[in-house]
Amino acid sequence: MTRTQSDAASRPSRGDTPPSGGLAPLPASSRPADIPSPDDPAVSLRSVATGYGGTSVLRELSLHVGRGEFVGIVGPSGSGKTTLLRLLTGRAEHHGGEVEVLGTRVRPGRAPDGVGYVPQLEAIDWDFPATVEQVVLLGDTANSAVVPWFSRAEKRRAWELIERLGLGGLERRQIRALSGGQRQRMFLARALLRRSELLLLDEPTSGVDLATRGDVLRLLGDLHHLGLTVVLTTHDLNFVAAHLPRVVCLNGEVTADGAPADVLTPDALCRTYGAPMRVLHDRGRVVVVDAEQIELHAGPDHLTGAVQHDVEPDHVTPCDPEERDDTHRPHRGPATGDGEVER
Amino acid sequence: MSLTELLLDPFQYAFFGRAMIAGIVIGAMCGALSVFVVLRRMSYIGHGLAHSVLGGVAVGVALGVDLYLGAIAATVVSALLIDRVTRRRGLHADAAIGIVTTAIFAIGVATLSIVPTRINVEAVLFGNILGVDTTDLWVAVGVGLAFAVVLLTLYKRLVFVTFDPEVAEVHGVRTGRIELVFSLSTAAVVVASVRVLGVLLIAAAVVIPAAIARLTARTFGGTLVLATVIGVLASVVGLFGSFHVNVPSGPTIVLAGASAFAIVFAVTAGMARLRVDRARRDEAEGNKLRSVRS
Repeated sequence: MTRTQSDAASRPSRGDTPPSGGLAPLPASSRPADIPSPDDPAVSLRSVATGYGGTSVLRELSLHVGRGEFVGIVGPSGSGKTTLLRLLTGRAEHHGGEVEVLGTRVRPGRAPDGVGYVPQLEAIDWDFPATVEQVVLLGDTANSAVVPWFSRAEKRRAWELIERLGLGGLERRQIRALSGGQRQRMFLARALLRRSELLLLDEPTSGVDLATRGDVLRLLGDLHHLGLTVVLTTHDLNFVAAHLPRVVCLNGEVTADGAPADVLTPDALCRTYGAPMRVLHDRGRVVVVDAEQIELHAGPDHLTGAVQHDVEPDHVTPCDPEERDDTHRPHRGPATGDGEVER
Repeated sequence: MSLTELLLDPFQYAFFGRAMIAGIVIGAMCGALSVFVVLRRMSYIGHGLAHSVLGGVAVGVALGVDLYLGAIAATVVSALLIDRVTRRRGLHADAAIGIVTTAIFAIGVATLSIVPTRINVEAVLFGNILGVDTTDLWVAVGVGLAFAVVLLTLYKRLVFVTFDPEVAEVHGVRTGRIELVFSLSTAAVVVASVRVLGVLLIAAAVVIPAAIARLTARTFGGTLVLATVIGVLASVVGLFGSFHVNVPSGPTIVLAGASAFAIVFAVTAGMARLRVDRARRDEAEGNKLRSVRS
């Protein structure tokens, strides 16, 4: 398996202006300690296997994420995305291989330092009687004194993060009264309060509308630009295709890994999802559509206004992952010009 | 009978003074505990652990050991088994509680049927303020102090684990230990409460205060304080009721709490209705004004 390093050149250095201009620099006390280097691994898995109750979930998984990278993990339900996050956070046992996070070997039952975790919004009881400030303050509980209150310094740090993540004025708001985007921002603030160098997000685009998705993405981009390593799982292929520099396709093992334009090919998607998918290229952008649900005669003009192809149902190439096993390398994107359909 | 007599007469009896102190401590403990029990959706835990007390008491008395030792052993074993079964085998807590504690309760019933004992089964089931002796009082105060220490020192960690156990673990909180301490604390509170509340009614005492507090409080700390106060008030009112109406203390304490819940529920629902009506009225008036202007 190969992976392009094209994103390495565009990797930001600390202090650059955030691309969206939306996020002010993090408080010094909440920033990663060192300027990230892509050669210095934030995440390193070597030949890792794991499963539950005799069922194998991940097989011989090897994956390397350098510090300062922004990576999206995609794959079908049950492909091992959440299990991978559990492995990285010491919440799952592995049968073989090694798992290292931020230079430390991860042992089951011991969460590695420097990792901030953002769960799926659906997993939370939003009627819990808590305010934004209280939830953010919980982020560094493990290092907080054994008294039932938080110190002024801890509160100051939480307020700074709340302010910088665009939640200023909402400190005392009940969490149930927050929008989807505000909830994600609150959880990111909680994760950063721990002085996290690595942010792990489980399905951050799940259950949020398009506007909120964009809001979350901009925020993650800003955090990445400030030097954090970001690894997220998602079902949203077009989200990673459009915005993330690196995508890892997972289905028990890494089926493809690299820049979206190189990785999101019909072959790789067939291997990953076991279903035929079409990949449209438009002005350098990759759009993945379900081949069996495509509006065949209308054409995808409504997406860009530039694509001129009508695709007949008979022309959809059947997907057989076994047959395509000889094409395990990420597709390098041949001469598919703007508006072309690759199948 | 005047109000003063109503309030002071019971204290002519030493047992009532002991019962009142024990009741206040137990009410506070159950009130505080109820917040974690309700928010973790483990309302069954108090019910289950209390049931297992009967098994421990019956077996303990049959073996000739102290009543409390049997109760402690049964609840600790229950709490540990529930904790292990839930965490290690992936069973949901309600199923684990249903299996473990009902089995220990069944052992108690079987033991009482086979071995003749002098246990006042009604007192164990429903509570009895007449039976509160000095030992019961010290047990309640001791457990209350220990529970307060646990709550104060682990407060932030308990809140984190209650709100978001997954992230708490990733963020370095030893959730396994916190869960274990919580289970053992719950067991201790249940054992200390049996004399006053009775096996069958503890479950309500570790649910109602938090249910009332959640209707009004906005923050976790506010919910905790309010639930604790409600627990104490329900105990005090219930103990007076038990004395004057000559009913076991467990039912009167639970009825006091349930009545408070009904009142607060009705009041908050009424206030919410009023707010909605007012908002609709304001909107209608606004629309009328706009149509007049246009």
